[in-house]
This record gives sequence, C-alpha cells and structure tokens, in this order.
Amino acid sequence: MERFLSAVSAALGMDVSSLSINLSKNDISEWDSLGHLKLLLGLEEEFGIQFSMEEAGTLSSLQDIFNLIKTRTNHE
Amino acid sequence: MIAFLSNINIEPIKGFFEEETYFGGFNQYALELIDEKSRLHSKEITKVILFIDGEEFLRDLICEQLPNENILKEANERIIELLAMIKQYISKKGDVCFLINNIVLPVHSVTFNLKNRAIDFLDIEISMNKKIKEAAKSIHDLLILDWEMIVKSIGFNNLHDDKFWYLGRIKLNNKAFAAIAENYQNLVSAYQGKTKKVLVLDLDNTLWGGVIGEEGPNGIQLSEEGQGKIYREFQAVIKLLKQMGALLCINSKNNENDLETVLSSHPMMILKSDDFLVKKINWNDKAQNMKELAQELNLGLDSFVFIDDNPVERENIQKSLPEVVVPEFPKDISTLKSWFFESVIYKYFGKIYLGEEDLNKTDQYKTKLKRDSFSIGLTMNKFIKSLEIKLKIHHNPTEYIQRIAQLTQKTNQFNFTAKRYSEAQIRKFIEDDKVQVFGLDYEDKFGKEGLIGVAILKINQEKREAEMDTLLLSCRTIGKDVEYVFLGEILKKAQTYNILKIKFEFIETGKNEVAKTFYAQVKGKDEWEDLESLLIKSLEKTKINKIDIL
Repeated sequence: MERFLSAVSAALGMDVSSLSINLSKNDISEWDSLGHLKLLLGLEEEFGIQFSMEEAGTLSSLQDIFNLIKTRTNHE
Repeated sequence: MIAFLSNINIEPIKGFFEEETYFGGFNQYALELIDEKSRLHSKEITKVILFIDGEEFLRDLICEQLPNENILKEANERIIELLAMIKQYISKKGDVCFLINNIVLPVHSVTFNLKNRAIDFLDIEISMNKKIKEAAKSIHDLLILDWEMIVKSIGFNNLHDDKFWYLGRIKLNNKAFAAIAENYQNLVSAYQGKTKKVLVLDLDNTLWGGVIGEEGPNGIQLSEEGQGKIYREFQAVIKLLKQMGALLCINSKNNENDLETVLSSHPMMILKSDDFLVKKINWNDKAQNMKELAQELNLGLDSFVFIDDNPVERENIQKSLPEVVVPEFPKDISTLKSWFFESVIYKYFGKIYLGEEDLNKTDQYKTKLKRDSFSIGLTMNKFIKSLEIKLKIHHNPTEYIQRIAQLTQKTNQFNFTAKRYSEAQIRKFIEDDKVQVFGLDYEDKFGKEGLIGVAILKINQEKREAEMDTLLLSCRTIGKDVEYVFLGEILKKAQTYNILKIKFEFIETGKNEVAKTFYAQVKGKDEWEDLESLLIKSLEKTKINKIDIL
C-alpha cells in the first residue's frame, strides 16, 4: 500500500502525505487527463504490469487501481 | 527555463527535470519558432529541446506509400526547412542552447525482407540525420540529442508504448523520458565545458585482475582469454579516452619497482608508462596523493575523476575531498566496459568539439611539468629569461573564435569576471566596433601552448574610456609575468583608440583567487584609472625580463 501511494504521488508530482487510498479522480486536482496518463505510465513501470485500453479508460479511484494491481501482482 | 517542443505529447517528461519547464503547443513548434511574439522567444527561455517523432513527422508520406525516392526527397526537404527555422530562431534569439534529436523511423515496415527495393526507412533516416548533423556542425548552439543511440542501446519497443499513444498521444514511456533527460544533462554539461579533465586510476583489480605484489608481474589477469580480456578491453577504452584529451594519472598503493616491469613491458598492457601524466605509486594516503596531483597539475580537485575497485579507498577520497568525482565500481566485473561508458565517460568526459589541443593534451602537460621542475633552483628573473618566452597578440582574430569561447567557458583561476561566452557572442564582439577582442599566443623553449589568454575591451570613444569586460589567462602560463606583458600590450592597443581612462570589471567567483591577487596589484585607488600610469606600471615589470612580442 505504501509503495502504491508513493508511486502515485511520484507520478502525479505531489506530496505523499496528501494522498489516501479512498481518494478518486475528482478529489485530486493533479489527476486530470494528462495526470491520468502519467499515473498509469508510472504504475505500469513501478509494478511491472499492463493496464488494458479499457481499464485505462474506466479506472478512476485509487482503491480500484490498487485492487487491480493487487490481483495482477498477487502480493502486498 | 527549458522549452519543450514536439510533434507528440511529451509532457510527462516534466517529472524528469529539476529546472522550470515550458511546453509548446502540441505540434505547434514551427509556428512558435517563427513567431517572435511567442513565449519561445522570451528571455527566460535558455534551452530548447525539440523532440521529433519520425513517424509523425512523415506520417502522410510513409503511412500510405511504400518507401520510395519521392519520400526520401520530401523528407529531406522537410528537415532542411525545419533546420532553417531553427537556425533563424537561434540567431534571432541568441543566448539559447537548442537540442534536436536525430530521427528514428518506426521499426515495423511491410517491406521488411525485400531485397530488391532501392529505398527503405533506414535510407530515409540516414539521409535526414546527415542534414541534422551538418546543421549542428555549423551552428554552435545547436546540439544533437542522440535519440538514435538511445534506441539502439535500449531498444525501440522498450521505449515506446502504443496504448498511451492511442489514449493521449503519448508515444514514449518513462524509460524513454528518463533516457532523454540523462542524455540532455550529459550534453549540456559538455556544451558548457563542465566536463572533467583528469582520470585517476588505481592499478590492482582496476587495470588488471589480481594483486601484483602477491601474484607477481606474470600472475596478473590481463590477456586475450577469460577474465583478463575484460581488463584488456577496459584499458583499450581508457586509451581512446586519452585520445579525446583526457589526462591519465595513477594513484595506487604498490611498490614502484614491481610496477615498472608491468607498465613498460607487460605484453598485454595497452596503456603504457608514457600514457600516464603523473604516477603516484607509493604507500601514502591516496587523498594526500590526490591533493598533490591537483597541485602539480595546477588544476582544481573538481577536475578529477577517481576510479578504484576498493570501497574503502573510494570512501576515503570522497569524504576528505568531496569535489573529486568518485563513481561506484561495478560489482559484476564483466560489466566493467559498459559501466565505464555509461557511468563515467558519458557523464563526465563528454565533448562537443575535439580540437588539435585535445589530441596532445598529455604532452602539453608534460611540457608544463618539465618547465615547472626546471624553475626550481633559479631565481625568478633568471628563470623567466631562460624560458625564452615569445608572445603574440591577436587582435579581433576570427580564426580563433572557437578557442576564445572555449577559454571563457573553461578558465576559472585567472579569470577576472568568469563571464562565459558562446562562439556566437564572441563573433558579435569581434564584429562590433565598440568591442575589441584580444587573444594571447604563448610559446617558449619547451613548446608552443597556443592561444591561452583572452581580453575583451569595451570602448567608449566619445568619453575616451574603456572597460575591461573579460581578462583571462590559462593557468598553465601564470607566474611568469606573462600577465603583466599581456595587460601592457592591451593598454597599448587601447591607446591607439585614444583611451585615457580604464575600468576593470571584477567578479569574485570563489575560484579566481589568482586573478584577485593580480587585480589587487594593478588596481589603483579610483574606479576609473589613468591608462598611462597603469601602462607604465605594467611595462616596468616587463622591462626586467626579456619577453619577446612577435
């Protein structure tokens, strides 16, 4: 979880302390359409996973992304 | 501030730069280059990175037809047109460092196995990149970001991501952005002349495998077989680096006698005794050796890179001499060569020009060392006389523009203002009637040093006043009264412009202590000094010693 949030903060260029898992796209101003791509790019690299086109279009909360990464990587 | 321009979305690269950034409109680069009212033309922009994605640049051509002569022609025209815009932008804007990548076209092509096609993507790439290279050669402030090399070393597919292209016009992934950022850093530090001068090497387990004191000269690993080949190839790269102007020194704990055999006659040694400028082979503290090296060569410790396999020695140097660059040594010795390229050469020994100067740098310094040891035991005046120094003043020399710019970039110790100038700026000075540029050429019985001094004098003929904007000498020649002669000669030239008063600009940089001492000696009470009395002062110095002006 910690690793996830710090990857999110790094990708969006914000302070990790201002993040929590229950935030979603509308709560974070940095998470705009470009931020969305930066976020997915950063997470793919950090966790060595791939989001599908469809997932990339629909994911909009940190919890959902976290769950998805969890099932992909089977750890944490 | 760095401006980014591109025909694809590269905004995520922002996270890889510490400097402030500006992103030009998506695919708007041509317009912004031309439009003098665009932000790109504002003063705050000091660097521009234009990233051209080859496929998008030629999309209308290469995505509908098979590669052919016409595409090649059109591609060339497009790149020439773009380069012309860049050239115009740089000359109008001034004071800007412009980076453009070399072009890489997609790896996928339906013509993949064809033997009987005249033209393929590679031909188009080569031809366009040749144009870019030619432009960079003639425009000093235009640099090439070597995207082709990045793609070759990391791989096209590892740098591109189709999904993000379709989601948001981002073609490159973070690995690509990181590689571009790193390449940019290395390139700009080479452009600014911030690269290192001296490579200091340990011996045992660094230039060969094993410890010579234990295994003996014939027991070390250095051969064409097995592990020994790693060290042999490593030495070959170091030898090439020397040819690029790097100075090599040894700082090693060994018995000197053991070593002479290896350095002079081991058949597998690529580096020979002569390749090293100074050898510190003893049992002293390596930090002490390092300090002595800096003194003997008259170079700052920040010009040194130290390579040693021993972590204790590395830490010792790093702790006691933090200015010295001490890279980690690879744990897996098979990576020695690629590690040396990626972590040492690219980072610290980049160069954008290779001059004749660089080719025999080691010899030049050897001459200097000889000269220095010759001076011991002679009185100062006798010493200077015996050197048979010959100086030559060049006035507004267009043939030395590159060298003069280089000196303003690199000289730290004897430099009144440490103002760094590009070639374009020096050219402007030379063409300007109100500015006089002087170069000083040095030669003595030990050898020719070439152009080693620069003075830039701003003249106000109405007021009959002049301001010394730049006064610098390469530290190799200081301490032989050359500085007084040079100043005297410039003052004489100034008199030909009817100048009566002169003012020196002096900016303390923390590194120009030597210049400060000289400044204190020539400077009078007033800000504006009487030129005549200053001239007499400097001529007095030069009367004592016989220094010829050619």
